[in-house]
Amino acid sequence: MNRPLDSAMIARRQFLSRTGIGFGAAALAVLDGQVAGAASPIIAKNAKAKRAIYLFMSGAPSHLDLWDPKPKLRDWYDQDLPPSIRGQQRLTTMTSDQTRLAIAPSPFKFTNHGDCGMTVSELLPHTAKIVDDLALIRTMHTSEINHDPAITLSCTGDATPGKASLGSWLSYGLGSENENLPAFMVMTASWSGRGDDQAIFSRLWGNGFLPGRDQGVRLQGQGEPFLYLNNPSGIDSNVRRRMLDSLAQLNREHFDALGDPETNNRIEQYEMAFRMQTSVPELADIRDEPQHVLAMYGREVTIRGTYANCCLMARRMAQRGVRFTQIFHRGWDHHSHLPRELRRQCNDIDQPTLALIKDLRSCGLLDDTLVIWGGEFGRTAYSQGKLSGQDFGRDHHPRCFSAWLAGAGVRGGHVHGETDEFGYNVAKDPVHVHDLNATILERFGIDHTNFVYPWQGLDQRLTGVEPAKVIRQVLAD
Amino acid sequence: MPTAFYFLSLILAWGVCLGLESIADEPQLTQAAAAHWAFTEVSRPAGVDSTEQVSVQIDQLINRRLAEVGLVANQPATDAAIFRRVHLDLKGLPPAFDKFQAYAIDPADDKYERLVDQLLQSPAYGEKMALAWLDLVRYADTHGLHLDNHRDIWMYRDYVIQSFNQNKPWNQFITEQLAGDLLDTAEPAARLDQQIATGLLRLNLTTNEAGSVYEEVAARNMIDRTNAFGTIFLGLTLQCAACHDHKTDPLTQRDYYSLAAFFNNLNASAMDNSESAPWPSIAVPTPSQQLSLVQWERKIDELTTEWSAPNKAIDDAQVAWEQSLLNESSEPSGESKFSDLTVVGPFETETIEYAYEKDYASIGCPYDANQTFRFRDRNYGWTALSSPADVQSIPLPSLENRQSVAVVHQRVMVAKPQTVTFLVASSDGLQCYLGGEKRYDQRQQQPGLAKLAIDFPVGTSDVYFKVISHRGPSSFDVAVRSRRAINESMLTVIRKSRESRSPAEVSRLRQYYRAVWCEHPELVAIGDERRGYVRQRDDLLALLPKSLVYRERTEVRSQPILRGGRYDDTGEPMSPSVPAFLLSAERKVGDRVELANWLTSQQHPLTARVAVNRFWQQFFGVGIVETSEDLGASGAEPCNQELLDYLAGQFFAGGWDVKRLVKAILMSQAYRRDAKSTLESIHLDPTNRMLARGPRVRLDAESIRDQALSLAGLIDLRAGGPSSKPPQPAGLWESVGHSKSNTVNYIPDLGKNALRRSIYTYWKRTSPPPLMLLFDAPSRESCAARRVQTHTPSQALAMLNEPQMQQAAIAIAKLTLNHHDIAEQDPLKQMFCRVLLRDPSPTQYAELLLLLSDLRTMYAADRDAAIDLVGLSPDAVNLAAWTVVAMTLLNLDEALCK
Repeated sequence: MNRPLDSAMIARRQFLSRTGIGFGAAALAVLDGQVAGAASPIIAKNAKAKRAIYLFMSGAPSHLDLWDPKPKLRDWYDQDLPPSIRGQQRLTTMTSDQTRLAIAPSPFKFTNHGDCGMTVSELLPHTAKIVDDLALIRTMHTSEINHDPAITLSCTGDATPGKASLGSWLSYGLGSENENLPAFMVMTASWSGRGDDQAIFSRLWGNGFLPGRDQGVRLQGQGEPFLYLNNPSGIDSNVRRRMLDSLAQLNREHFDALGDPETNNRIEQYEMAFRMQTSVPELADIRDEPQHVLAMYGREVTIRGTYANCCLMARRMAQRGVRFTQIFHRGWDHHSHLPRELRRQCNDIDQPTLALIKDLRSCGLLDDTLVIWGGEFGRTAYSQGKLSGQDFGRDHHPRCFSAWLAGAGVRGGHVHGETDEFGYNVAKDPVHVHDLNATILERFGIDHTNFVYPWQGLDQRLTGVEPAKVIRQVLAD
Repeated sequence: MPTAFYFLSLILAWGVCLGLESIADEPQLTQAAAAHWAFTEVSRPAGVDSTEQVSVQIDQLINRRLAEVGLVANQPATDAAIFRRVHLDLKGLPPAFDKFQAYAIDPADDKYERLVDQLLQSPAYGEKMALAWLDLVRYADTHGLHLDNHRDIWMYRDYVIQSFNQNKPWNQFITEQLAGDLLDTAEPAARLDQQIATGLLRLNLTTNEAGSVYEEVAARNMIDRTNAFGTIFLGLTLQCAACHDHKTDPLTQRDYYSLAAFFNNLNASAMDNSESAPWPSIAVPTPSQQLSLVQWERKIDELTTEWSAPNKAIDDAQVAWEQSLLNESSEPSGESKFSDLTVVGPFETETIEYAYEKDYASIGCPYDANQTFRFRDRNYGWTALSSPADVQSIPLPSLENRQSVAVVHQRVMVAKPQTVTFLVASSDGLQCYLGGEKRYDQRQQQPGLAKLAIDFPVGTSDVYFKVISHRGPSSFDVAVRSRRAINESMLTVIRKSRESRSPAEVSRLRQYYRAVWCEHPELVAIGDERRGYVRQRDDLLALLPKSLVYRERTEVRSQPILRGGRYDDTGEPMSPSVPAFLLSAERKVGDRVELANWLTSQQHPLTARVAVNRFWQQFFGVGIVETSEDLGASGAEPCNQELLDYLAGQFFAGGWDVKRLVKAILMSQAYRRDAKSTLESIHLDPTNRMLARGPRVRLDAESIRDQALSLAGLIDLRAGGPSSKPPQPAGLWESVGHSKSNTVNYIPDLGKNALRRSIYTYWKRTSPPPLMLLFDAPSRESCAARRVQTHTPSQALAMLNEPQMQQAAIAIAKLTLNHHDIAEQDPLKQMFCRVLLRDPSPTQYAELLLLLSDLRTMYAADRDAAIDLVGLSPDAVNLAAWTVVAMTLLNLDEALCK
């Protein structure tokens, strides 16, 4: 370890510390006994997941109508939420003006499924078929009561913008497995519910304080699949190749003259860009998918940017070694007309989600691919606005909500945690969003307490300052 | 190699994360922290050195260190390299080749110095220097949260650019931004600038998300401003102390909230109301607009006077009206009756739209004077309002700086169906309901009284007026044109003989008559004319560019300590004061002017060091302290503290003169060295912290784009004004934006506007300009003191395929070919020189020539492709080949670095 550094190694270290994506491993790599970059001195070990796919339901789906049945609430129809249940908890100012907090029981049927007998809403008949693969967490909770801060907290570990996102952390820590694709890819899916829904933000896949190469790269639902991927019209790949050959030659000469390793690095990035011009269209082109696979994802799979299409893309990315894929599906913010709107939203996601899990399994990827499904918070047991028959809305509810994990050795068929009879408070085994993120990192063999990046005087980490915990109960091994 | 100290600090930092207070409470640490180098005063220099002396001293301090580690300084860079480097550093634009040729043959010894002087005078200098500051203060054109709506604050950006160009002393620059609103300046233009400068304190992210808890948002804003103050001016990580005493710097939580108290007195709502220029903001007219405004104001004043002045015709009509009233009084009474007014409120509303949509109090239900309304855990009941007969503005309950609703009730009883005319006005929005039905809906203040005729059925009806206050205070005018609605004291006046009325009574009656009853064409004409001017004025004011500014509340509020940083867990209230460990003030530092004075005092250990370090970073790629955002104990050690302190001392002693400092740095040999590295020099100093080599850094995102457009002769150098929108790939904003946001659709500018310098590119925080993000620009959501550079294939793709890059390559090809016809020079050499200011080496030349000829062959075989690339032209094949050569040159590593 104390031997004199030879020049090649210096160049290589410098290269690594300042390099772009595509080099097998980044911060967690151990290079000649040395830690590269500014990362923490730890190594990923016992990794169960090589990659993850996060299905993010932006707007906050109702746990009460999907995953957390509360049959007793039928007896409470249109009665006020008991003050003892609400306690001193704050409400959003959208319902804190309401004179009444009238209980709105779920109008949907819940039935038991699979060997495990997990109870699932009739709105998710397809997802219900794979409950034996899912570890359901009914006791998620968050510190934020509004969308912007809550989704920012979920995705970056802090409600205040400026921090690094989950995918960026993984890209930073583990790099990419495919030198022709980025480590972290993001898709924003179209949705069927009401048109004006919550915004999402590029900070949700931003690198924050981490190097810019770790930012999520969007596979776009329209136009070029990647920003600036296609050659300008009039430049075909032969011209481009010819040009890059000269460019590389000229740059090599420049390196010989100046000796800056950065120059070699740049040559490599241009070559990688050229390869991406093949690998990305190949990724996005689903004509090679067999008919039965396409059919599994449903009719919308061939329409770019739909959730079904994004799910298929996610599987194709997983196959190609993309470390972390995140799909944002918007439209879940059901302050009004929840029964109608929620059905439409579930229609978008139900069959493709099932297909993704089955497809991953048939490709042999489910064992080391972690799939996460969830939103930024839950929804209230009482109605926002007037409760009229089967029509009502639900307000934001940070005190409890549901999320599930699948693949990568999670305990399928397991239900973790209990909420109270109103689905209002956690009764047993709370799981904060930081805990969920800690658990996701654990699957990658990363101890979240040691996975830090020094910035602004603090060793930043994804899971925040307050202690967070890995939820062992949802893990089989 | 990680040192033991490194691991110790890691352990300490983990302790911080885990809240292990005991570690930090060790007295040793506190002592160590207090003795931290950056908290000790910079020793005052004996005298102010000349620029030349400063340059010499820089080199001495650097060379001494080089000698210690056995590094040999590189030779000076070539003329071409230094010419290009200093242009890109001071202007962010590449130099023209003919300028360089003149420079190259200039035999004078002082040609470099004259060049630097000349560049410092260029208007492009301010645009380049402003960039780092705008990153630091997180300048952007949108609010940043939730809807991420547009924000009017580009004038602040222009203020920063102009300040650099005017070479405003750094202490003044700081003072204006921190306290411009509190300064006494007579000169109107300077006064305006100082207002705009306070936009700094409004650059925090804001929201108007429905459901937000106001106090929580207010606390977040305050914390955001305080943290920004720490990063921008102190180079410290104050944010740690928002929740607990700082673990590595001797800053207590009390210190934090005492500092926060300086920024807790903004006279504004914590919510941005989704407006472009949420109050307080100023509208800035052009001189000719200003002239019109003054003229219209005068007209409005005149007409207001005329409206209430004696007027024979109108006064005669009044006499007739009085007479008819006295005659009417014989009518049977009880025909119609109007109750006294009562009011309930204020009901806070989270968005103004909600206020207009929702029913409050008993709107739509029968009135009950004793009813109380439960609203956000409080009870509200009806209270009496003063009599409305005199048409005075009646103040209503409202919330300071917040949106709220007050409901006014009046009961009307009529014996037979009839139409009653109400005359109403309010300071903001007004809606009127009868029996649950909306009869009137006005969403902004209207000049004068609006007439509102309501048909009443026989019996009793409840009329509700919902007055929506957009910011408080709120007022309401109502009068009823009915004999029954005239109050007794007014009737008494009417019954008096004209001679026996006092002047006050005459005036009161006239006002009342004219406001409520008079329909005499002369008065109507005066009223209409006045209304016209008011509307004209308001329309212009609405169109004027605005800029967010800071205004202090009259009543100073303290800032309670928020335990654990939690907005709803308040502790002891703190008054504004500064942390004593830095520089204990002789006098009390109680307002923002005094805060700025404290900060810019020559004894302040941080201000000058922080600034000098960042200027250094700008030119050398890395600061003397690498962590330029944090000079505290957890930041990096300075690699040459003596140098930093020397420059800091010279900076304040020399009057905080930025151009002087910049010149001294650029005149140093260290800056002017050749950038060549050898295995030996990389071995000894991999990242060139010792500066044996000249700085070699990739251009920042903005300069990359500006360089291409500039080399192509396409760039539009107009300074200032609203931000521009160059083309960006379709769908970027749409796919993330809230559909109700006013920045959800990106409509690119056409023509010259699309070709402006990148510092003027519109910055939407939740979807920043893609080219800038790809090249490591921060998102402007938080303060960024430096950009960490990375290499990615996405950058290569952008350079190769972004439409403006392509446009630039075509333009360069055309320029080269056209120019060649005249100059009879080798066009390949000429193009090469245009981009890199030097001749290609023989092998480079051969490579490019071969490329050119191969491309010609390729395009000759596919003429359509050539036309696709460069458009229809008889010379398309040749032009296409040259375009690809130009593209190659723009993508050279040498072109992308300075």
